[in-house]
Amino acid sequence: MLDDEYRVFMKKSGKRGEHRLVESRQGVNYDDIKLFGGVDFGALDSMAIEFSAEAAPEVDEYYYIDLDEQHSGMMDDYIQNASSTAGVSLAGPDDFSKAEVLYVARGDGGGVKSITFQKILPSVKISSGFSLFLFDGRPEIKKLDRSISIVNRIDAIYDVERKRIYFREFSKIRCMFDGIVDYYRSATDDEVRRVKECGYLDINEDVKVGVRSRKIIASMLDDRILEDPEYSSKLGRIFDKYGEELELKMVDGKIVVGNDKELTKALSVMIGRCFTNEITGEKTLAIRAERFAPISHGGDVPSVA
Amino acid sequence: MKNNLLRFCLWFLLCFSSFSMGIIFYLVIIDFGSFWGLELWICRCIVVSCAFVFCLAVAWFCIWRLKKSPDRESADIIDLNPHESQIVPSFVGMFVVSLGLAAMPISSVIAVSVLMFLFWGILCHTSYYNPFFTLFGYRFYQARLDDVHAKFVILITRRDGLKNGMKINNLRRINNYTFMEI
Repeated sequence: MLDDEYRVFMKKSGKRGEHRLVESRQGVNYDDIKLFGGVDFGALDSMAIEFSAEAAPEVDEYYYIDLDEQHSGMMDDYIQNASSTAGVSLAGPDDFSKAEVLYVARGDGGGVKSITFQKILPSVKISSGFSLFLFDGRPEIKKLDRSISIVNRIDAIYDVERKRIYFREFSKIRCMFDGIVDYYRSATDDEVRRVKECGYLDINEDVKVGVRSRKIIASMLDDRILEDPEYSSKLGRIFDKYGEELELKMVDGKIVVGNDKELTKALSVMIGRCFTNEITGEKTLAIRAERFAPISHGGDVPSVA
Repeated sequence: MKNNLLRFCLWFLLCFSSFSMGIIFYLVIIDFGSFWGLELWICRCIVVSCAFVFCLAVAWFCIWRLKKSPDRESADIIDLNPHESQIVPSFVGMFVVSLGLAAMPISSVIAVSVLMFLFWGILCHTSYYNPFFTLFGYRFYQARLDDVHAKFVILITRRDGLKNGMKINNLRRINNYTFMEI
Protein backbone atom coordinates (compact mmCIF):
# COMPACT_ATOMS: atom_id res chain seq x y z
CA MET A 1 0.00 0.00 0.00
CA LEU A 2 1.20 3.48 -0.81
CA ASP A 3 1.66 6.26 1.77
CA ASP A 4 -1.38 8.21 0.70
CA GLU A 5 -3.55 5.18 0.07
CA TYR A 6 -6.30 4.09 2.41
CA ARG A 7 -8.77 1.25 2.37
CA VAL A 8 -12.05 1.32 4.23
CA PHE A 9 -13.84 -1.84 5.22
CA MET A 10 -16.69 -2.82 7.44
CA LYS A 11 -17.15 -5.97 9.44
CA LYS A 12 -20.57 -7.48 9.87
CA SER A 13 -21.90 -8.88 13.11
CA GLY A 14 -22.63 -12.56 13.51
CA LYS A 15 -20.59 -15.69 13.89
CA ARG A 16 -19.14 -15.52 10.38
CA GLY A 17 -18.18 -11.88 10.85
CA GLU A 18 -17.92 -11.22 7.12
CA HIS A 19 -15.93 -8.24 5.88
CA ARG A 20 -16.96 -5.84 3.13
CA LEU A 21 -14.96 -3.30 1.17
CA VAL A 22 -16.32 0.25 1.34
CA GLU A 23 -13.65 2.22 -0.49
CA SER A 24 -10.06 1.79 -1.64
CA ARG A 25 -8.56 5.06 -2.77
CA GLN A 26 -5.43 7.06 -3.08
CA GLY A 27 -4.66 10.70 -2.51
CA VAL A 28 -7.99 11.72 -1.01
CA ASN A 29 -7.56 13.86 2.06
CA TYR A 30 -9.90 12.87 4.88
CA ASP A 31 -7.29 13.60 7.54
CA ASP A 32 -9.67 15.80 9.51
CA ILE A 33 -11.62 12.64 10.31
CA LYS A 34 -9.66 10.82 13.02
CA LEU A 35 -10.48 7.39 11.67
CA PHE A 36 -8.79 8.22 8.36
CA GLY A 37 -5.86 10.20 9.71
CA GLY A 38 -2.34 8.85 9.93
CA VAL A 39 -1.17 7.37 13.22
CA ASP A 40 1.93 8.62 15.04
CA PHE A 41 2.84 5.57 17.07
CA GLY A 42 5.58 7.41 18.93
CA ALA A 43 3.10 9.93 20.29
CA LEU A 44 0.60 7.18 20.95
CA ASP A 45 3.11 5.20 23.00
CA SER A 46 3.74 8.20 25.23
CA MET A 47 0.11 8.24 26.30
CA ALA A 48 -0.56 4.52 26.46
CA ILE A 49 -0.48 2.11 29.38
CA GLU A 50 -0.38 -1.65 29.25
CA PHE A 51 -3.79 -3.16 29.67
CA SER A 52 -4.62 -4.83 32.94
CA ALA A 53 -8.11 -5.68 33.99
CA GLU A 54 -8.17 -3.41 37.02
CA ALA A 55 -6.36 -0.45 35.50
CA ALA A 56 -8.26 2.69 34.55
CA PRO A 57 -6.78 5.04 31.94
CA GLU A 58 -7.01 8.81 32.17
CA VAL A 59 -9.15 10.78 29.72
CA ASP A 60 -6.53 11.07 26.97
CA GLU A 61 -4.78 7.78 27.63
CA TYR A 62 -4.96 4.53 25.71
CA TYR A 63 -4.54 0.97 26.83
CA TYR A 64 -2.38 -1.28 24.75
CA ILE A 65 -2.10 -5.03 24.36
CA ASP A 66 0.85 -6.73 22.71
CA LEU A 67 -0.56 -9.75 20.95
CA ASP A 68 1.37 -12.97 21.43
CA GLU A 69 1.84 -15.60 18.73
CA GLN A 70 -1.23 -17.46 19.90
CA HIS A 71 -3.49 -14.43 19.52
CA SER A 72 -2.00 -12.52 16.60
CA GLY A 73 -4.09 -14.67 14.25
CA MET A 74 -7.15 -12.65 15.23
CA MET A 75 -5.77 -9.85 13.03
CA ASP A 76 -5.10 -11.99 9.94
CA ASP A 77 -8.45 -11.20 8.29
CA TYR A 78 -7.99 -7.47 8.76
CA ILE A 79 -4.44 -7.42 7.44
CA GLN A 80 -5.07 -9.75 4.53
CA ASN A 81 -8.19 -7.81 3.50
CA ALA A 82 -6.16 -4.62 3.43
CA SER A 83 -3.39 -6.30 1.50
CA SER A 84 -5.60 -8.09 -1.02
CA THR A 85 -8.92 -6.31 -1.48
CA ALA A 86 -9.88 -8.57 -4.37
CA GLY A 87 -10.87 -11.20 -1.85
CA VAL A 88 -13.47 -8.95 -0.22
CA SER A 89 -16.88 -8.25 -1.69
CA LEU A 90 -18.13 -4.69 -2.01
CA ALA A 91 -20.52 -3.47 0.68
CA GLY A 92 -24.11 -3.38 -0.50
CA PRO A 93 -27.46 -2.17 0.84
CA ASP A 94 -28.12 -5.56 2.48
CA ASP A 95 -25.02 -5.18 4.66
CA PHE A 96 -26.32 -2.05 6.35
CA SER A 97 -28.28 -3.67 9.17
CA LYS A 98 -25.45 -5.97 10.23
CA ALA A 99 -22.60 -3.46 9.97
CA GLU A 100 -20.75 -3.60 13.27
CA VAL A 101 -17.23 -2.26 12.80
CA LEU A 102 -15.73 0.23 10.39
CA TYR A 103 -11.97 0.04 9.85
CA VAL A 104 -9.43 1.89 7.78
CA ALA A 105 -6.09 0.43 6.70
CA ARG A 106 -3.17 2.64 5.74
CA GLY A 107 0.15 1.70 4.21
CA ASP A 108 3.72 2.92 4.44
CA GLY A 109 4.82 2.36 0.87
CA GLY A 110 5.17 -1.36 1.45
CA GLY A 111 2.67 -3.40 3.38
CA VAL A 112 -0.09 -2.37 5.75
CA LYS A 113 1.18 -0.08 8.49
CA SER A 114 -1.80 0.67 10.68
CA ILE A 115 -5.47 -0.13 10.98
CA THR A 116 -7.88 2.14 12.83
CA PHE A 117 -11.22 0.86 14.05
CA GLN A 118 -14.55 2.39 14.95
CA LYS A 119 -17.44 0.46 16.39
CA ILE A 120 -20.70 1.25 14.62
CA LEU A 121 -23.23 1.99 17.34
CA PRO A 122 -26.96 1.80 16.55
CA SER A 123 -27.21 5.54 17.12
CA VAL A 124 -25.07 6.33 14.03
CA LYS A 125 -27.16 4.21 11.69
CA ILE A 126 -29.67 6.24 9.73
CA SER A 127 -32.47 4.00 8.54
CA SER A 128 -34.57 4.41 5.47
CA GLY A 129 -36.92 7.40 5.44
CA PHE A 130 -34.84 9.68 7.62
CA SER A 131 -34.70 13.24 6.31
CA LEU A 132 -32.15 15.95 6.96
CA PHE A 133 -31.85 19.67 6.42
CA LEU A 134 -28.55 20.41 4.73
CA PHE A 135 -27.24 23.93 5.10
CA ASP A 136 -24.38 23.60 2.63
CA GLY A 137 -25.47 26.30 0.23
CA ARG A 138 -29.21 26.49 -0.23
CA PRO A 139 -31.07 24.62 2.55
CA GLU A 140 -32.93 21.57 1.39
CA ILE A 141 -34.42 18.38 2.70
CA LYS A 142 -32.66 15.20 1.68
CA LYS A 143 -33.69 11.66 2.21
CA LEU A 144 -30.94 9.36 3.40
CA ASP A 145 -31.50 5.67 2.97
CA ARG A 146 -29.50 3.20 5.00
CA SER A 147 -26.57 5.43 5.87
CA ILE A 148 -23.92 5.22 8.56
CA SER A 149 -22.54 8.37 10.09
CA ILE A 150 -18.78 8.26 10.71
CA VAL A 151 -18.09 9.65 14.16
CA ASN A 152 -14.87 11.57 14.77
CA ARG A 153 -13.54 8.98 17.19
CA ILE A 154 -11.18 6.02 17.11
CA ASP A 155 -12.01 2.98 19.22
CA ALA A 156 -8.91 0.97 18.45
CA ILE A 157 -5.64 1.22 16.55
CA TYR A 158 -3.51 -1.70 15.44
CA ASP A 159 0.21 -1.35 14.87
CA VAL A 160 0.84 -4.11 12.34
CA GLU A 161 4.61 -4.21 12.74
CA ARG A 162 4.62 -4.52 16.53
CA LYS A 163 1.36 -6.47 16.77
CA ARG A 164 0.06 -3.99 19.32
CA ILE A 165 -3.56 -2.98 19.80
CA TYR A 166 -4.34 0.41 21.33
CA PHE A 167 -7.81 1.09 22.66
CA ARG A 168 -9.78 3.00 25.28
CA GLU A 169 -12.76 0.84 26.17
CA PHE A 170 -12.51 -2.89 26.26
CA SER A 171 -16.26 -3.27 25.80
CA LYS A 172 -16.02 -1.61 22.39
CA ILE A 173 -13.23 -3.80 21.03
CA ARG A 174 -14.68 -7.06 22.30
CA CYS A 175 -16.72 -7.53 19.11
CA MET A 176 -13.80 -6.57 16.86
CA PHE A 177 -11.22 -9.16 17.78
CA ASP A 178 -11.98 -12.83 18.35
CA GLY A 179 -10.04 -14.04 21.37
CA ILE A 180 -9.27 -10.62 22.82
CA VAL A 181 -11.32 -11.59 25.88
CA ASP A 182 -8.40 -13.83 26.84
CA TYR A 183 -6.63 -10.63 27.87
CA TYR A 184 -9.54 -9.51 30.01
CA ARG A 185 -9.83 -10.95 33.46
CA SER A 186 -12.85 -10.49 35.70
CA ALA A 187 -13.58 -12.65 38.72
CA THR A 188 -16.22 -15.35 38.44
CA ASP A 189 -18.99 -15.74 41.06
CA ASP A 190 -17.05 -18.59 42.58
CA GLU A 191 -13.92 -16.46 42.88
CA VAL A 192 -15.94 -13.65 44.44
CA ARG A 193 -17.33 -16.12 46.98
CA ARG A 194 -13.80 -17.34 47.77
CA VAL A 195 -12.62 -13.82 48.53
CA LYS A 196 -15.72 -13.05 50.57
CA GLU A 197 -15.02 -16.14 52.66
CA CYS A 198 -11.26 -15.63 52.89
CA GLY A 199 -11.56 -14.36 56.45
CA TYR A 200 -10.35 -10.82 55.82
CA LEU A 201 -13.69 -9.24 54.92
CA ASP A 202 -16.90 -8.76 56.82
CA ILE A 203 -19.31 -7.83 54.04
CA ASN A 204 -22.89 -6.66 54.45
CA GLU A 205 -25.22 -8.93 52.46
CA ASP A 206 -26.65 -5.97 50.51
CA VAL A 207 -23.28 -5.05 49.00
CA LYS A 208 -23.09 -5.80 45.28
CA VAL A 209 -19.77 -6.76 43.76
CA GLY A 210 -19.37 -4.47 40.75
CA VAL A 211 -17.22 -4.77 37.63
CA ARG A 212 -14.29 -2.87 39.12
CA SER A 213 -14.31 -4.97 42.29
CA ARG A 214 -14.42 -8.15 40.24
CA LYS A 215 -11.37 -7.00 38.28
CA ILE A 216 -9.47 -6.36 41.52
CA ILE A 217 -10.50 -9.74 42.92
CA ALA A 218 -9.31 -11.44 39.73
CA SER A 219 -5.98 -9.63 39.99
CA MET A 220 -5.71 -10.55 43.67
CA LEU A 221 -6.27 -14.25 42.99
CA ASP A 222 -3.99 -14.31 39.94
CA ASP A 223 -1.18 -12.85 42.05
CA ARG A 224 -1.96 -15.35 44.83
CA ILE A 225 -1.70 -12.57 47.37
CA LEU A 226 -3.94 -14.31 49.93
CA GLU A 227 -1.69 -17.37 49.95
CA ASP A 228 1.07 -15.42 51.71
CA PRO A 229 1.38 -16.93 55.23
CA GLU A 230 2.17 -13.49 56.61
CA TYR A 231 -0.70 -11.79 54.79
CA SER A 232 -2.81 -11.31 57.95
CA SER A 233 -0.03 -9.50 59.80
CA LYS A 234 0.82 -7.41 56.72
CA LEU A 235 -2.81 -6.33 56.39
CA GLY A 236 -2.86 -5.46 60.10
CA ARG A 237 0.25 -3.30 59.69
CA ILE A 238 -1.39 -1.44 56.81
CA PHE A 239 -4.35 -0.62 59.01
CA ASP A 240 -2.12 0.52 61.84
CA LYS A 241 -0.37 2.86 59.45
CA TYR A 242 -3.20 4.01 57.20
CA GLY A 243 -6.37 3.12 59.13
CA GLU A 244 -7.34 6.68 59.98
CA GLU A 245 -7.12 7.92 56.39
CA LEU A 246 -8.85 4.90 54.89
CA GLU A 247 -12.11 5.53 56.71
CA LEU A 248 -12.54 1.78 56.96
CA LYS A 249 -13.00 -0.27 60.08
CA MET A 250 -11.24 -3.47 60.99
CA VAL A 251 -12.86 -5.71 63.55
CA ASP A 252 -11.22 -8.97 64.65
CA GLY A 253 -8.85 -8.82 61.68
CA LYS A 254 -11.70 -8.35 59.19
CA ILE A 255 -12.35 -5.21 57.16
CA VAL A 256 -15.97 -4.14 57.65
CA VAL A 257 -17.66 -3.35 54.33
CA GLY A 258 -21.05 -1.66 54.37
CA ASN A 259 -21.46 -0.52 50.77
CA ASP A 260 -20.11 -0.93 47.24
CA LYS A 261 -17.67 1.97 47.53
CA GLU A 262 -16.15 0.57 50.71
CA LEU A 263 -15.75 -2.80 49.03
CA THR A 264 -13.71 -1.35 46.20
CA LYS A 265 -11.60 0.57 48.70
CA ALA A 266 -11.15 -2.49 50.93
CA LEU A 267 -10.08 -4.64 47.98
CA SER A 268 -7.62 -1.94 46.86
CA VAL A 269 -6.14 -2.02 50.33
CA MET A 270 -5.98 -5.82 50.29
CA ILE A 271 -3.85 -5.82 47.13
CA GLY A 272 -1.44 -3.32 48.60
CA ARG A 273 -2.40 -0.05 47.06
CA CYS A 274 -1.63 1.99 50.20
CA PHE A 275 1.69 3.75 50.21
CA THR A 276 3.43 6.88 51.37
CA ASN A 277 4.54 9.24 48.64
CA GLU A 278 8.30 9.55 49.02
CA ILE A 279 8.35 13.08 47.64
CA THR A 280 5.43 14.67 49.45
CA GLY A 281 5.18 12.28 52.37
CA GLU A 282 1.45 11.99 51.84
CA LYS A 283 -0.37 8.80 52.64
CA THR A 284 -2.00 7.62 49.42
CA LEU A 285 -4.40 5.01 48.10
CA ALA A 286 -3.59 4.36 44.43
CA ILE A 287 -6.46 3.89 42.01
CA ARG A 288 -4.16 2.27 39.51
CA ALA A 289 -0.70 0.76 39.59
CA GLU A 290 1.74 -0.34 36.94
CA ARG A 291 4.23 -3.09 37.67
CA PHE A 292 7.86 -2.79 36.73
CA ALA A 293 8.12 -6.57 36.45
CA PRO A 294 5.67 -9.46 36.72
CA ILE A 295 5.24 -11.19 40.07
CA SER A 296 7.15 -14.43 40.39
CA HIS A 297 5.27 -17.23 42.09
CA GLY A 298 8.30 -19.49 42.33
CA GLY A 299 9.64 -18.09 45.59
CA ASP A 300 8.52 -15.72 48.29
CA VAL A 301 5.31 -13.79 47.87
CA PRO A 302 6.22 -10.11 47.67
CA SER A 303 5.34 -7.63 50.32
CA VAL A 304 1.91 -6.01 49.97
CA ALA A 305 2.71 -2.77 51.72
CA MET B 1 -27.11 9.11 -5.90
CA LYS B 2 -25.06 10.44 -8.79
CA ASN B 3 -22.32 7.90 -8.10
CA ASN B 4 -24.85 5.08 -8.06
CA LEU B 5 -26.20 6.21 -11.43
CA LEU B 6 -22.69 6.38 -12.89
CA ARG B 7 -21.91 2.93 -11.51
CA PHE B 8 -25.10 1.54 -13.03
CA CYS B 9 -24.32 3.14 -16.41
CA LEU B 10 -20.83 1.63 -16.38
CA TRP B 11 -22.20 -1.78 -15.41
CA PHE B 12 -24.79 -1.54 -18.22
CA LEU B 13 -22.15 -0.61 -20.78
CA LEU B 14 -19.87 -3.43 -19.62
CA CYS B 15 -22.75 -5.89 -19.99
CA PHE B 16 -23.65 -4.48 -23.39
CA SER B 17 -20.06 -4.61 -24.54
CA SER B 18 -19.76 -8.21 -23.43
CA PHE B 19 -23.07 -9.06 -25.13
CA SER B 20 -22.45 -7.09 -28.31
CA MET B 21 -20.52 -9.83 -30.14
CA GLY B 22 -23.85 -11.69 -30.32
CA ILE B 23 -25.49 -8.66 -31.94
CA ILE B 24 -22.72 -8.45 -34.55
CA PHE B 25 -23.13 -12.12 -35.29
CA TYR B 26 -26.86 -11.61 -35.74
CA LEU B 27 -26.23 -8.72 -38.14
CA VAL B 28 -23.95 -10.96 -40.21
CA ILE B 29 -26.69 -13.48 -40.91
CA ILE B 30 -29.89 -11.45 -41.24
CA ASP B 31 -31.11 -10.16 -44.56
CA PHE B 32 -31.83 -6.43 -44.27
CA GLY B 33 -31.77 -5.61 -47.98
CA SER B 34 -29.53 -3.24 -49.93
CA PHE B 35 -29.26 0.55 -49.75
CA TRP B 36 -27.70 3.39 -51.75
CA GLY B 37 -27.89 1.11 -54.82
CA LEU B 38 -24.99 -1.00 -53.52
CA GLU B 39 -24.57 -4.73 -53.71
CA LEU B 40 -26.14 -6.65 -50.80
CA TRP B 41 -22.80 -8.04 -49.56
CA ILE B 42 -21.30 -4.53 -49.55
CA CYS B 43 -24.27 -3.21 -47.54
CA ARG B 44 -23.85 -6.07 -45.10
CA CYS B 45 -20.14 -5.30 -44.75
CA ILE B 46 -20.88 -1.63 -44.09
CA VAL B 47 -23.52 -2.37 -41.43
CA VAL B 48 -21.45 -5.03 -39.68
CA SER B 49 -18.33 -2.84 -39.80
CA CYS B 50 -20.20 0.13 -38.34
CA ALA B 51 -21.64 -2.09 -35.59
CA PHE B 52 -18.20 -3.54 -34.91
CA VAL B 53 -16.59 -0.11 -34.65
CA PHE B 54 -19.40 1.07 -32.38
CA CYS B 55 -19.02 -1.96 -30.08
CA LEU B 56 -15.24 -1.48 -30.09
CA ALA B 57 -15.77 2.14 -29.08
CA VAL B 58 -18.07 1.06 -26.24
CA ALA B 59 -15.43 -1.42 -25.04
CA TRP B 60 -12.74 1.27 -25.24
CA PHE B 61 -14.98 3.67 -23.30
CA CYS B 62 -15.52 1.00 -20.61
CA ILE B 63 -11.76 0.51 -20.23
CA TRP B 64 -11.22 4.28 -20.14
CA ARG B 65 -13.93 4.68 -17.50
CA LEU B 66 -12.46 1.88 -15.41
CA LYS B 67 -9.08 3.60 -15.63
CA LYS B 68 -10.68 6.79 -14.35
CA SER B 69 -12.24 5.01 -11.38
CA PRO B 70 -10.69 6.32 -8.14
CA ASP B 71 -10.78 2.93 -6.44
CA ARG B 72 -7.51 1.12 -6.61
CA GLU B 73 -7.36 -2.45 -5.40
CA SER B 74 -4.84 -5.26 -5.07
CA ALA B 75 -4.68 -9.03 -4.97
CA ASP B 76 -2.29 -11.65 -3.63
CA ILE B 77 -2.31 -14.34 -6.30
CA ILE B 78 -1.43 -17.91 -5.45
CA ASP B 79 -2.30 -19.64 -8.69
CA LEU B 80 -3.10 -18.49 -12.26
CA ASN B 81 -4.71 -20.25 -15.22
CA PRO B 82 -5.89 -18.92 -18.60
CA HIS B 83 -9.64 -18.42 -18.48
CA GLU B 84 -10.62 -18.11 -22.16
CA SER B 85 -11.15 -21.82 -22.71
CA GLN B 86 -13.78 -21.94 -19.96
CA ILE B 87 -15.79 -19.08 -21.38
CA VAL B 88 -15.94 -20.30 -25.00
CA PRO B 89 -18.97 -22.61 -24.47
CA SER B 90 -21.07 -19.67 -23.23
CA PHE B 91 -20.24 -17.64 -26.32
CA VAL B 92 -20.85 -20.55 -28.67
CA GLY B 93 -24.28 -20.90 -27.03
CA MET B 94 -24.97 -17.23 -27.62
CA PHE B 95 -23.95 -17.46 -31.28
CA VAL B 96 -26.20 -20.48 -31.82
CA VAL B 97 -29.14 -18.55 -30.38
CA SER B 98 -28.23 -15.60 -32.64
CA LEU B 99 -28.32 -17.93 -35.67
CA GLY B 100 -31.80 -19.09 -34.68
CA LEU B 101 -33.04 -15.51 -34.39
CA ALA B 102 -32.58 -14.93 -38.13
CA ALA B 103 -35.68 -16.96 -38.94
CA MET B 104 -37.90 -15.21 -36.37
CA PRO B 105 -40.16 -12.18 -36.80
CA ILE B 106 -38.69 -8.91 -35.50
CA SER B 107 -41.01 -8.80 -32.44
CA SER B 108 -39.73 -12.20 -31.34
CA VAL B 109 -36.15 -11.15 -32.01
CA ILE B 110 -36.58 -8.14 -29.74
CA ALA B 111 -38.25 -10.19 -26.99
CA VAL B 112 -35.61 -12.94 -27.08
CA SER B 113 -32.78 -10.40 -27.24
CA VAL B 114 -34.09 -8.52 -24.22
CA LEU B 115 -34.44 -11.75 -22.26
CA MET B 116 -30.95 -12.87 -23.29
CA PHE B 117 -29.52 -9.51 -22.30
CA LEU B 118 -31.20 -9.68 -18.89
CA PHE B 119 -29.78 -13.16 -18.41
CA TRP B 120 -26.38 -11.89 -19.53
CA GLY B 121 -26.68 -9.02 -17.07
CA ILE B 122 -27.31 -11.43 -14.21
CA LEU B 123 -24.26 -13.45 -15.23
CA CYS B 124 -22.20 -10.26 -15.28
CA HIS B 125 -22.73 -9.92 -11.53
CA THR B 126 -20.58 -12.94 -10.82
CA SER B 127 -18.50 -13.50 -13.94
CA TYR B 128 -17.31 -11.40 -16.84
CA TYR B 129 -15.85 -11.96 -20.27
CA ASN B 130 -15.54 -9.44 -23.06
CA PRO B 131 -14.11 -10.54 -26.41
CA PHE B 132 -13.47 -6.90 -27.37
CA PHE B 133 -11.05 -6.53 -24.48
CA THR B 134 -8.85 -9.16 -26.10
CA LEU B 135 -8.59 -6.87 -29.16
CA PHE B 136 -7.02 -4.26 -26.85
CA GLY B 137 -4.45 -6.81 -25.75
CA TYR B 138 -6.06 -7.95 -22.52
CA ARG B 139 -6.04 -11.58 -21.47
CA PHE B 140 -8.33 -13.35 -19.04
CA TYR B 141 -7.02 -15.48 -16.20
CA GLN B 142 -8.63 -17.43 -13.44
CA ALA B 143 -6.70 -16.60 -10.27
CA ARG B 144 -6.76 -18.24 -6.87
CA LEU B 145 -6.30 -15.72 -4.09
CA ASP B 146 -4.47 -16.06 -0.78
CA ASP B 147 -5.39 -18.70 1.77
CA VAL B 148 -7.26 -16.29 4.05
CA HIS B 149 -9.73 -15.47 1.29
CA ALA B 150 -9.55 -18.84 -0.49
CA LYS B 151 -11.45 -17.47 -3.46
CA PHE B 152 -11.20 -17.66 -7.24
CA VAL B 153 -11.44 -14.46 -9.28
CA ILE B 154 -11.13 -13.57 -12.95
CA LEU B 155 -8.16 -11.35 -13.64
CA ILE B 156 -8.02 -9.26 -16.80
CA THR B 157 -4.57 -7.98 -17.57
CA ARG B 158 -2.26 -6.99 -20.41
CA ARG B 159 0.82 -7.87 -18.45
CA ASP B 160 3.17 -10.61 -19.67
CA GLY B 161 5.13 -12.84 -17.37
CA LEU B 162 2.56 -13.30 -14.66
CA LYS B 163 3.72 -15.71 -12.01
CA ASN B 164 2.10 -17.65 -9.24
CA GLY B 165 2.56 -16.06 -5.83
CA MET B 166 2.81 -12.49 -7.08
CA LYS B 167 1.01 -9.43 -5.78
CA ILE B 168 -0.93 -7.35 -8.31
CA ASN B 169 -1.78 -3.75 -7.53
CA ASN B 170 -3.72 -1.17 -9.47
CA LEU B 171 -6.76 -3.34 -10.04
CA ARG B 172 -10.23 -2.08 -10.87
CA ARG B 173 -13.29 -4.00 -9.77
CA ILE B 174 -15.82 -5.01 -12.44
CA ASN B 175 -17.76 -7.21 -10.05
CA ASN B 176 -16.88 -9.05 -6.85
CA TYR B 177 -15.23 -11.83 -8.86
CA THR B 178 -13.68 -9.95 -11.77
CA PHE B 179 -10.81 -7.47 -11.63
CA MET B 180 -8.99 -5.63 -14.34
CA GLU B 181 -5.39 -4.50 -14.08
CA ILE B 182 -5.03 -1.01 -15.50
